This record gives sequence, C-alpha cells and structure tokens, in this order.
Amino acid sequence: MGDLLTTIVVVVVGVGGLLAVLGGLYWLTKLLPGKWTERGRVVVFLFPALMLMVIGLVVPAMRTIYTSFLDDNGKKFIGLGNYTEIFQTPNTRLTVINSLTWVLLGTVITLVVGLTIARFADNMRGEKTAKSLIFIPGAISLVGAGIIWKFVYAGPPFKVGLLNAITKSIPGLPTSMGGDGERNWLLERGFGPLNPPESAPGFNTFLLIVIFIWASAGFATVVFSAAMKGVPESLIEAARVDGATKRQAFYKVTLPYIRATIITVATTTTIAGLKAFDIVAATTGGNFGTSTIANEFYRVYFVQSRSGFGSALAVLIFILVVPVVVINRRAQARAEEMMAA
Amino acid sequence: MKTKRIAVAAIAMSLLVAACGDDSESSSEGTTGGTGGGSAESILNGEIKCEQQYAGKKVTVFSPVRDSENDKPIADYVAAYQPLVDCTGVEIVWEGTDQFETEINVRLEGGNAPDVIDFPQPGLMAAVARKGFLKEFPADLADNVASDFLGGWDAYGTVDGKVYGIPGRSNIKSIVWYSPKAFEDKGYAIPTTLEELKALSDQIVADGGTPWCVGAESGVATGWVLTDWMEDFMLRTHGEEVYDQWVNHEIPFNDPKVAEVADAVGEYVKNADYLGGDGLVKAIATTKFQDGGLPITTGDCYMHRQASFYASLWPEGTVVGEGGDVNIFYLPSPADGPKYMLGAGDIYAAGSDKPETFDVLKYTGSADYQLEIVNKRKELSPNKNIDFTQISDPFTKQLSELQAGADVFRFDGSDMMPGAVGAGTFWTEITAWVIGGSTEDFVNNVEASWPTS
Repeated sequence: MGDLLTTIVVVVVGVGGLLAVLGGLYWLTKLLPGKWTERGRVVVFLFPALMLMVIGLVVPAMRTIYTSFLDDNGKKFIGLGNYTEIFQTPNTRLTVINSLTWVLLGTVITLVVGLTIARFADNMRGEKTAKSLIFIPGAISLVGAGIIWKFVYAGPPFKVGLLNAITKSIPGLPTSMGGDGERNWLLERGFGPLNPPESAPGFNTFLLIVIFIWASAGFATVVFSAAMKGVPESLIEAARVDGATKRQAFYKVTLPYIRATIITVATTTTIAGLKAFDIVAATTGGNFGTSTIANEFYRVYFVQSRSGFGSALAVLIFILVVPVVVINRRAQARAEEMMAA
Repeated sequence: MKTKRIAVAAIAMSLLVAACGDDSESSSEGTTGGTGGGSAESILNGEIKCEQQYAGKKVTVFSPVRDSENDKPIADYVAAYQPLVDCTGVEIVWEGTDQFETEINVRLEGGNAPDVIDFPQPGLMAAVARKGFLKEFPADLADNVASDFLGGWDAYGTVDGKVYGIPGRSNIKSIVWYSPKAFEDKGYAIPTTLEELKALSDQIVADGGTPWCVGAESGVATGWVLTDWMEDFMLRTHGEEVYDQWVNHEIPFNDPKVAEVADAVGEYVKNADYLGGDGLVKAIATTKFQDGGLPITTGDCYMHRQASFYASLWPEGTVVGEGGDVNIFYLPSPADGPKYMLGAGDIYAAGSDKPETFDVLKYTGSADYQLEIVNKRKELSPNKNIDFTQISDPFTKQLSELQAGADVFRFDGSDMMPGAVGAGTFWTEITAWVIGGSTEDFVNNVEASWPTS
C-alpha cells in the first residue's frame, strides 16, 4: 500500500513538474521577438520527445554499434573482426541465409495469401466470419503460435503430431516425406528428394516460416480487404464497360490502386521476418540448422555473454532493415504522387 | 519528409537494440542485526572468540542468491549467521543480484569490492583472482579449506597455489533415477560399477525393455543434458587429470581422448536398442529435459541420468527417495578406479582483507553454518564434517550420503569453459551429433569455435 502511494506521488510530482517546466518555457517563448516565438515553441514541444529518443534509442544504438567493434569482454578494439566472424563461421552464416529466406518466402507468401483471400472473400457470403477466423491467428502471440505448431509437427515419442497423422494417411508416400507417420518434422532438414547441404536452409526452416505466414496472413488479408473496399466502384465499372474481364480489372485497376497498402504490408512483414525470434525460440531453439539472426543474437549476447559478437549481430539486423525502410519510403512517395496525379 | 524517414528507421532500430541496454535493477538485500547477547565464549571449537570484537562493523556478501516473487532465500542465508553475529557483533549485509557475472567485474574494477564474494563457479573466481582483485586467505583459513572438504573441492578454492576461496554449498549430477518397483519386478540389482551398468542395460534390452530415456531439449540451451553425460564419462574414461586438461583447453577439444569419450557416451545415448528405436534417439533433441525421465513412471524405460534437482520434476504425488516410487543410484565409476562425482556449487572469496571478512568466511565454510543451509534450503554441503543425522529431509540426507561416498569431485566442465563453447557450440554441436552427426565433426567444430584470446 505504501509502495503504491509512493508511486502515485512520484508520478504526480514528476509529470506535474515536467508540465510546469514546459509551461514556463512556453510562456518564455512569448518574450522572444517576432518569428523566433514560433521557432521557440517548436523546440519546447519537441524537447521531451527528443530527449526520450536520445536516451532510449540513439544512445543505446550508438553504444551497440560501438561494442560491436570490441572483443567479447568489451575491452579490446578488434575492428570488423566480429563482422567477419559472422560470415566466416558456417553456423552463423547459415543464420543469415535463414533470415533472408524468412524475409523472402515469408513476405511473398504472406502477400499472395493475403491478396488472394481478400480478393475472393470480397462480397462473399459470410465474409465477416471468414475474415475474423483468418485474423485470429494474428491475435495469438508468436510464442503461442510456435507452441501450437509444435504439436502439429510433433514426432515420436509423442503420438499427437497432426502432420504425421496426415502424411501417414496418404497411401504410397515415402518415409522421407513422413509416409510412416514417425517423422520428427522440426528436426529433419531434408524432405523427399530435397536434401539441402549443411550450409543451406532445410525444410524445417520452411515449416517454421509456415507458422509465420499463418500468424501474419490474417493481418494482411484484413488490411488488403479494407483497401479494396476503398477502390471507387466507378473505376472498376468503367474498366468493365471498356471490356476488361474481372481478372483484368483486378490486376490493372484494383492492384495498382492499393499499391501503397501492399508496400506497407510488405515492409512490416519483411521487418517482422528479419526479427524472427519468438517462433524459432519456441519451437527449435535455433537447433537443427533453423536459427535466425535474431535468435542467434539472443543466444550469443544473453546466453553466452559475448557482448561484441552479439552486438555485431544486432547491428547486422539493423543494417538489413535500413534498405527495406528506405525502399518503402521511396515507393510510398511514388504511390502518393501517382494518386495525386 | 526526411525527419519521418529518420523516425521510421529509428523505431525499427529501437526494437532491435533496446534489449542490449538492459540495466534493470533486480538486486535484493538483506541484513541481520548487530548486537547480540551471546553467552558462549567461543564458536567453532574456539576458532572464533566471542568478544563482540566486530561490534558496529559490517561485512557485505555479494551473491547470485537473491529474493524472487516466490522464494526468499536471503533471509535463510543471513539468519544462519546468527551465532556468529551474537558472538562477534558483526553485521552481515547480503546483496543478491541476477547479473552477478557482469556486476562483480564492475564492482571490482570500480574499486568498490564487496567483502565476501559468493562465486557460483570457480572458473570465474580464478579469473578474478588472477587479475589481483581477491585477497589470499590467511594460513588458518587456508588450512580449513585444505582439511574440511570432500575430495576435489579444495582445488577449486586454490589458484596458482594460493588459496582464495572456501566452498559454500554444492549439488550433484552423477545420479541415475530409477523405479525400485520396476527393478524389483524384473530382479535387477543396482549396478555398482560402470561395467555392471552396461551389462544391466544389455540385460534389459535382452528382456525386451528400454533401459534408458534421455531428454535434452531446453530452448536455446538445448544440449546441456548431453554435455553433462560427456563430463561424467570423461571422468570415468580418463580420470580427473585429463578432465581438467580438457576443461582448461590444455588438450584440444578434438583430441582423440575426447572423441573416445564422445563415443563412450554414444554407446548409451546414440544406441537405438537402449532408447527404444532410432526415432527415439533423435527425439532426445526434441524432448524437454523436464520430461526426459517421466517414462520411468509409466514403465516405458528403466533409467534416467539427471542431477538432483530432478526430484522436483516428477508428477505430483510421486514419492521420491528410499522406499519411494522413484529413487536414485550413483552413476557408477569403473571397477578399478576411484568414485567420481560431477556437480556444481559455490565458492566464497574475500574482496577485502579485514579480520572480520576472514572470520565470516571461516564461519561460512564451517559445518555449523552449512548444516543450517542444508536444512533450510535443501542444498548440499561440500563440508565433510556434516553430521548426517542432523539433516531433517530424508532425500537431502540421501543425496548428502551419496556425495560423501564419492572419492573425487569435479565441477561441471561446460560451466568453466568460455561462454562461446560452454554455453554455445558444446551444446549445439553435441545436439547435432546426437541426431546423427559424426563424432569427428562434433569435436572438430567445437575445437574450431574455441576463442583464441
């Protein structure tokens, strides 16, 4: 009880104090001559947000970049040593390749699935129910999704694996594709004739990406569906009058119209794919060649206490995210121009 | 436009790096009071005189033991010092932290050394001692370290011939869990040598049973169960000297001796007959370590090698220990060798050389103090003068006797290897090995990852 009271007092005094300071500064800007009043106000109002940005974001980011050039004890400067280690260690290199696979397959399939469902569910009977059902997985935490799918992929000694039950019921399916219902799906890297080498992502990585798609396709569907509803009916009608088939109208009118939305969803999915950690940690823990950069970063930094190498991995994710953000901004700007024209 | 771009980039970054600056304060403290009306003239058979000589003086203990939501161990650890407090008037201040490894370096390098430091593993203590941050024990305390502890423990308090640490508490890992009823039904006897263990395993297979069950899945730490197997078998195959060389990297990880040990472990954990099929060998890597031994309760396997903590993981209602539903036996050593015990524990060292610091350490190492901890916390004590009849919990007593029955103690090797190996490639490579990788790849890959500096 005493703790609660102290907390409330601290919050009230803290927030009140901050407001008082800002109010005072705001009042002071009035004393500034002419156009400086406006500029002063901008500074005053931006100050708290900027401070939070600097303390919570810029400083830790700079520190992480700095430690990524130091050895694991944070003592000796080793230049790009940690970065070359990422690409020279076969297992770590595989995590980079895995992450890129996540981004590529995860994003493309999520977009295709989302667009397909949005297109065909549009104006269908029971559209709302269908969309709600598809959206639900997105509401589950990724760790929860991982645990659910662990049961789907479970192999012996557990007899509850859903995928095994399915593959077993298909007559004539070879053992290498789960025909005997005894396959440990999360562990096996090959699938049928597919037999990836140690240095390439295995089929189990693909199975993890399926979880990611399952969790993110619902969001994509709902956003696309909303965007499609925003396409003016008259545009599509005009196209139809001009002789376009439904299919042509979709590809030539609807898709270009919702381009900005597609880019936005692609960007968020790509970034989510690059940061993929929860699903991997909850299913394989990064074993069996399924680790991703984010999972490896966690393992190295927090489990092995290697600050240098761990920071380098964190910075690598950042470096990979930057172009995505830049491309997104460019494409958005172009889409906006097009809309304005 | 431009600021927006920066903001988006910054937000993306925040999600990635925010976790790095985790300086959350999760330490907890506890103290016990200064004045006491002790009437004894001395404690520990006269080793410490009761003259209130440290009245008004504080001794800080820096430790990874800390209070959490459900468990408040600090009060127990501090209360056990009460006789010393009553006798000498010293005040004990316990500082617990969950960031021990980081914080101890900050404190020592910042010139803010705690008086007593409770190291959760000796490798860390040795590293700190070599940097000159620890105080060498005076002769009487060093004598206690040499004379009062079970075989092998004194070595972990000694660095380059100088004594810096006294063992505080321990736990043991060379344990096999089994169902006494299942053994009785089949007429199996508890094996007392490694050869007998092998023979028993073969016998169970011949009788149509599954001798072993193993589970090594543990999220990012998957594989540690198997590294414990390796350590146990390194001791049993090559003895403690080679074990120490292996842990300290005085022999390479891909030395033929190490490969030989891996193969010896493989005779158990990669043996489809012992585990009930090829699929079940691979399933080791996806079976949670908590579930690893549970098939014993359903009669699906006979033996499970796991440390003493497994006592709390059996299904509710399972009676553990002598005469219970599940019991333990010592993972035997070869017939012609000493009895090895793998385990872990804490070593207490001095960050200051005040007389009260050394007396607190002396008391921490005493059977009087450690018996209190054994009874209050169900920890084991590495002190060989513990009177087992004074241990109230029957299972803790059984474990204590098992520990005392061993000749040579060795500390969990993976804990003492560099993090990149001991919490990294050793786990991942042994996991890759158990699901079908070759021994050669396993030892070569771990060796390749050993840090050079």
